[in-house]
Amino acid sequence: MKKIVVSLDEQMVRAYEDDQPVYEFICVTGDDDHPTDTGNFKIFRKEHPYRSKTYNVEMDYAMFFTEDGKALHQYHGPVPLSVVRTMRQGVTDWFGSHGCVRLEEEAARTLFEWAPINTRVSIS
Amino acid sequence: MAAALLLLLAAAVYRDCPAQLLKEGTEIFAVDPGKVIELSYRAPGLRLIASRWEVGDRFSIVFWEKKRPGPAFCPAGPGFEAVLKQLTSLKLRRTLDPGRAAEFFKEKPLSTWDEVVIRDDSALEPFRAMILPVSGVADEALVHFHGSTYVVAFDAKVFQLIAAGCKSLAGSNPNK
Repeated sequence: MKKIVVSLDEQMVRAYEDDQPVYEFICVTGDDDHPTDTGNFKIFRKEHPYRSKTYNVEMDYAMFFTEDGKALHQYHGPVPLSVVRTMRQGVTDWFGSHGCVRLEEEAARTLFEWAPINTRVSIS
Repeated sequence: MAAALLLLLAAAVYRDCPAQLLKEGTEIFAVDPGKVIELSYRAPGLRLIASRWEVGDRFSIVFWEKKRPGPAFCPAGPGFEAVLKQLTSLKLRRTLDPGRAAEFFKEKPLSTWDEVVIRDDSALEPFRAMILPVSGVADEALVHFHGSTYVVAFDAKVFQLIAAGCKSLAGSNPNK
């Protein structure tokens, strides 16, 4: 069974298959005003490419896990995600997302290929 | 200030890597069929709308053909389930590069392709794609959405099921 675990404290995404670790990636999650939901979810929709009409932004390799559209997806900003993550953790929460779990392109693509519909997502 | 400088520096040195191709077999679009509440399909001369009030209900189908005076109505059956299963899981065979796609669109404009729209019970925008059977190929179709064109694994029998309307999509009516 496949499972994706998101650690908000560590800003890390880890993927497991039959409880064995498969992948580990850095991520950036929601800011204080738009926190990423915590709990257990399932991926119910996948789409690539994807553009959010709500925020008018690209969200490639989107894997949606909440009814209001929160997803794991590729980060498309001009600054490397590793820098954004460091700023979010060490400087200001302003660098967080609007609740989605942002990933570097290779990480997003890898998870998109790996995780089928109904893959569990656990966020804490 | 230091943070802003760091950001500017990082942006200046950042190089966006060229996009890599997804592996064959990856679902470029997929949705849990159990969460779908509406599927519409439009092709030249026909239109199909299958909808239900909420997940768990049975789908009701409305089917129009240009050559017939009025729509047909029927409850969904196994034929429709096969259509739903195929359209909610589009597995990549290969990606059409933009240059090749542009050439192809000159011969076969997108306006002549079939259109599928799938709405699930979330707040997300419905999935909308243009779809085209590959002539002479029984297990592939072309799909275009969000500016990308793909060749996907696709059972061509699904096009026949849709074209036959309620004759192939209906199940028995539980109210009769």
